[in-house]
This record gives sequence, C-alpha cells and structure tokens, in this order.
Amino acid sequence: MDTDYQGELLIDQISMSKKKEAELAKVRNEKIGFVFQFHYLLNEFSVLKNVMLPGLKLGKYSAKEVEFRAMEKLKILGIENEALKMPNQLSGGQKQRVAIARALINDPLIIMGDEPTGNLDKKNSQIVFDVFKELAIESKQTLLIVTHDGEFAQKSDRIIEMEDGKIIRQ
Amino acid sequence: MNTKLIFSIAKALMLARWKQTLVAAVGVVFSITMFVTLLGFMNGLNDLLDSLILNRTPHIRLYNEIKPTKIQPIDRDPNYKSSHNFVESVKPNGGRLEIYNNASIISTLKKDKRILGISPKIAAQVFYNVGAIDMTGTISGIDVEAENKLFKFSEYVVGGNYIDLKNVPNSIILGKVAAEKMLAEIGDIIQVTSAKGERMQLKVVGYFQSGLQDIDKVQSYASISTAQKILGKTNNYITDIQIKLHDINQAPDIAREFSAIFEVDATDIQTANSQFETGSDIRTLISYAVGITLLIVAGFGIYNILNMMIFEKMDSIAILKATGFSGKEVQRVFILIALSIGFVGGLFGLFFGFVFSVIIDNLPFNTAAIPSVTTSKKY
Repeated sequence: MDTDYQGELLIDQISMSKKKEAELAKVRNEKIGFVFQFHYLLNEFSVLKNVMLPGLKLGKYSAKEVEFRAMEKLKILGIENEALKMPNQLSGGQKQRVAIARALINDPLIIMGDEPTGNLDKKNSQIVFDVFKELAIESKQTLLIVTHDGEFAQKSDRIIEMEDGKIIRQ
Repeated sequence: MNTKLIFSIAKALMLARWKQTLVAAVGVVFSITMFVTLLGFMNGLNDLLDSLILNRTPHIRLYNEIKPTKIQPIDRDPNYKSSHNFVESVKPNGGRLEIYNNASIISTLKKDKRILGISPKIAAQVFYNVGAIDMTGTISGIDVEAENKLFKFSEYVVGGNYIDLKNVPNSIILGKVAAEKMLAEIGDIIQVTSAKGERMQLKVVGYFQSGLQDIDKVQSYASISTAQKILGKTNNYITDIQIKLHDINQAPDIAREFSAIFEVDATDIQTANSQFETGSDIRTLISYAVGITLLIVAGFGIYNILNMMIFEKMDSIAILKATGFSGKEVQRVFILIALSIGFVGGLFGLFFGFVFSVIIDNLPFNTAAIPSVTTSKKY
C-alpha cells in the first residue's frame, strides 16, 4: 500500500497514516482482500494452499480450521474440485476465482480489485462479476474495484470516474 | 506458527526450482571441498617442509665460538682502566671448543621443565683416506638414542641399522655421497685422519642421507666415545649441547638466559634459520589467499543465484505482501533459502573435503632424493 499521500486514511475508524510497515502488513492481512489483474496465485503452491496462506499468516484459526474455511470459500465460488491442482493447471477465470477465494479467507472489511476482469474474456468476466455481485448482496461484502470496463462499472452501486489523478464525476 | 509458515514457503520456493537450488548448492559444496582439501594439503606440505628443518635442528645450541677475548690485558691494568684502549691485530687464543663443566650443565638442564630433551654432540674435522687421496669431512659424535628421539636420526639412515652405531665399537655411518665416492659398502673398514694427524680405522655400519648433496658429501656420524677417540680427547669432552624445547617460541629468550648462566655461546633456531621462517610464513599466506578467494567466489555464486531468484519471484513477493506478509518476513524467506543452501552445501563440502584429504594422504608418493618425504610413513 502506498504510504505517500495527503490527508487522512481511515480503515475501520483507525488512521493508517502513522502506522509502521509491519502494522500495515497486518492490516492488509486482516482487513483487506486483494484481487489483481495479472498475478493471481503463487505457482509453487496448490490452489488450496494459496487460499489458505493469508489465513495461516493471520494465525487466528488452526491449520485444520483454515483448511476447512478455504474449502468453504472455494465451494462458494464453485471451484472446490480444483482445490488440489496446481495454479498453472487452471484457466484464467478459474485462477481469478481462486484469487477471490483467497481475498475472502480472512473475512476482510473490504475487497480491493485492480482490474480484476481486465485480463479475462467476456464469459469469464461475467462469472467474476456474478461472484462479486453475489458477495455484495448476500454477504454484504464491500468491494472497491478499479476498472476500464464501462459495462462492468455500470452494474455497480456507486461509480467514481477519475482522469489523470483527479475525480471528474461522482 | 509464523516461523513454520515462513519455513514452508521457503521450502516450496526452493523445491519449485530445485535444479537452480541444486546448482547453487553444488557450487558451495565444490568451493568448500576445495577450500578444505587445498588448505589441508598446503598445511600438511608446510608442516612437512618445516619438519625437514625443525626435526634436524636443535631449538637451542650451546657451544664455544673461537673468538678473541673481549677483555685484553691492558684493560685489566689499573692505570688504563678508565681510558679507551685500542688494540689492533687481536688474535683468538687457544681455541678451546670444549664446553667446560658440561656434565653439571647437562644435569642442570635435565631438571629444567621447559626442556623436552637434550643431546650432546662433538663436531670433529677429519679426512677420509681413500687410497692416496684425502677427502675432507666432518664427523659428528652423537648420543645415538637421544639424537634419534629428538631429531629422528633413524629416518635419515638409508642403509644399515642406526643403532649399530652405538652397539658396534669404532663404527661410523657415512654420508651417502661420501660412501659412493669411497666405494665403501656396509661392513667395510675405512680410515680417517683427524685434524691433529691421528689415524683411526672405522667400520661402516650404515649410510646417512639428508637429501642435500653438499651435506651428504662431508657429513658422517659416529658415537660420542668414538668421536672422542678420533680426536684423542678424554671422555668428558663435548663441543655442543643441543636442546629441544617444549615451546619453540621461547627459544630466543631461553638461549639468552643459558648463554649468561653457563658462559657459553647459544644460538636459537629462529636466528639460525630466519630464512626458513620467512619462507614458511609466505607459503601460509599464499595458501590462505587461494582459500579465501575460493570462498569469496562461492559467496558470489550464492548471491547471484539468490538475486536471480528474487528477480524471478517479484510476482510472488507482490502477492505475499498483498496477502499480509511484511517486507521483513519476505526478506526472512529469502535469507532462509540462502542459509539452507549455504548450510547444506557447507556440510557436504566438509565431508567431501575430508574424503579428498584422505585420498591425497593415501596417494603413493616417494622421492629417492629425500627418503624422509613419503606418504607411506606415519608420524
């Protein structure tokens, strides 16, 4: 996360401005889930281990529980059958769904997506969007997504349009 | 929990590119192996070359030098005591090489705790008579057993049995080259003439070879009593006392001390063989320079591979950080990888280094010139 900004940044009523690097890492682990455009998963680990990683890092639950929760998340996203495969055996859409499962594992306050559908075809984009929508409606999960895809944006609840670092429309 | 996670991540990263990891580890193994082997070899060689001199040289030698008296008669005259007296063309008097009162000196030395052993010696200048020709030579009268114990005399005796020198009366161990010139076989009788002109017949009981041609041409050994007979001296005549210390580094100090106490000249090994110490220092320096270069090369090897690994894993690092790992923890993962490569490689390196050293130790190596340099003999 960028530390060079002006003004105040609050997550869960706590200011992020004065936090140290290790504390920020903890915030990322506990309160934020990330979904990226390009690098999705660690190729050295199986799908399940990838999803479990942030949970193991948090250390709130035992390894067994984390595994169980990871399977749950994979089930929600409909990819529980791929759990023991390696990431490079999955399609792009499947990988992105695993990444979302990983973002969800610690029940974060907010999920941030950096062009999560930017690298996917129409069909997979649709699947990812459906997943997001379901999360927003059923799990009341907050999502913050950056995208160039106008169609994708139109379907969301609130749109903030930016150009060259400035907000042009809200 | 956290440490376990970091371990498992490091392990997964290493196993994912196990060939790369293996190459790095093999690099470490190779350099540690060569470091151990080379330094072991060089050290052994150093010790061997040192021992060629150290084994043969007393740490301290007590003797009487032929030199003019320091106090000339004029200095004793009360009228001139306080003045500067210049005396020219001073010659040494008498030239008595004998160490006076040597029996009591030896018994005093034997009580000294710093001393490992002592061996008395007589140096006698002689001519070997071969038909009509006389060859110059030196006969050292030695206490055979003490000489063998302190200076490994038996290793330099190449023919015959060294102890015969003590058991056979009027016997001699000839220098190899001298023996060849005289065509003297073991069991033959040779004739020597002392500097005073006395003739004596000696039985050859062995050959002596130091490896240095010039020494082997003139140097021979006889027992102390035989040497006393050659010189026509009484049985308390001794010209040298050779001392071996427990700690060679004390030699200069102890030499000064003995010189003052016993009123004799004393030379320590450091003064007598200063060139040898320099040579041995330089050899050590070179071998360590080579060894440290090897280690540095290995270090850069690991550094390079780790660098490449980190570069390749940029994506993984980004994901790890996004999922809540701090920079420090990511650093720890990679340091752990480097440490385990270094540790495992180092262990194997030590093992192979030992194996190579053993192999070198068992390679047959014999040289005719210096019979004491061989791998088949254990010290």
